[in-house]
Amino acid sequence: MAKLTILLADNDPDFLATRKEFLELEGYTVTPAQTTVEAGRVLDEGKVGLAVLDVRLVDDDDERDMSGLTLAKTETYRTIPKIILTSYPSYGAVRTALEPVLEGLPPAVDFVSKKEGPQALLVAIRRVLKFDSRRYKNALDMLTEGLQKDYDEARHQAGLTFGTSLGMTIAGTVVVVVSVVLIMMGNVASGILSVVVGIALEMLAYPFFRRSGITNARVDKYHNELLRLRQLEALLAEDEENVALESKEKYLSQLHEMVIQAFEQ
Amino acid sequence: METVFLLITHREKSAWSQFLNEALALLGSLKVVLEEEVSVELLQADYNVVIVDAGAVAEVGSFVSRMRAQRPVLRIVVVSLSPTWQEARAVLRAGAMDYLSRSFTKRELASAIDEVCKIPLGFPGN
Repeated sequence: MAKLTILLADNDPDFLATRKEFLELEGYTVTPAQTTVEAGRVLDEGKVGLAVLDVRLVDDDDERDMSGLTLAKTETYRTIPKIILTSYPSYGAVRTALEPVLEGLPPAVDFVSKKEGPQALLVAIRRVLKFDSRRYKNALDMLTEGLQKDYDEARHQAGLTFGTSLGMTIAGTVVVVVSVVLIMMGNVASGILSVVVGIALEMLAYPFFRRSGITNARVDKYHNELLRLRQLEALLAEDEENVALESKEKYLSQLHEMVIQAFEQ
Repeated sequence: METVFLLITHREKSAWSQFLNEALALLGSLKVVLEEEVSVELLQADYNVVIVDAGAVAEVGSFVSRMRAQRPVLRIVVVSLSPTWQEARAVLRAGAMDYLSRSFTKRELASAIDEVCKIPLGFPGN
């Protein structure tokens, strides 16, 4: 089974190092990040299965610093499960982190105070992997369905705008070629008119060409989000396997006890 | 269809229930029940949002979990007289959709509960 990769973001290098070591000893692969930019870069790579984010990633002494929460709320990362970590827990921060939003998952799936110690973080990580598969199944299905629709629509639009820009470019080129032929044949007035029409067509094609670039970027965005969702689904499926394995181990242990009892009798 | 809220509290007629009734008057009607009547009440009728007064139940996190087990698709909001981050975490983990303070004004309460009403059923926590 592949190890779960966790993004651990905290601006305190000592805390980051000790928690990283602790989680690695528990069998997780940890990617550390000290700033929101670094954390964003790691999340963009799409290789982490879970993110643990400190609330104050910029300034520990600034009560208004909610950079970790803001990062958790970023729509692009909505499909990555997140645990919020803080030295300054408040009910407002818990609300912001854990309450469901209108069109998606809550920004985070759990909230842990640093004062609760490393074990609490470990429990939260294990809990995320356990309950996600049950509690987030519906939401994931709905998100996948919605994203698939957006993706299909964006692909359709990209095809349409690209087709239009290509058609107009070809038409413009043809008209310009015809105008050159007309001028060479001595029909200068018609030739010049054709050149103007040809250039106008090329100019009209340009906005469609630009739009085509934008729609292609949208297609890429939705494609990446769909990939992330698939990764999350794979992670949850992996967790279900773990549960099955746990049940199996429990069953074997019960069997072992029964055998010992039988021998003792 | 009329929006109906259910408030679970320790006294059917209290200043708090009256306050909430006034706060939600523009959104819908409010029915008040005691903790022991909840199970039956949830079987008998559908409510848009169930509001739990944290002070009226012993372990509000477990209470929300039990309600969630009985009715997996339900919008639950907890209101507390003295909110704490631990209780907020417990109830939101258990499946509540929001955790509010009784110190909220009528407008703040109505706005928060109105937001909860807009969250489509089937999303996490409901």
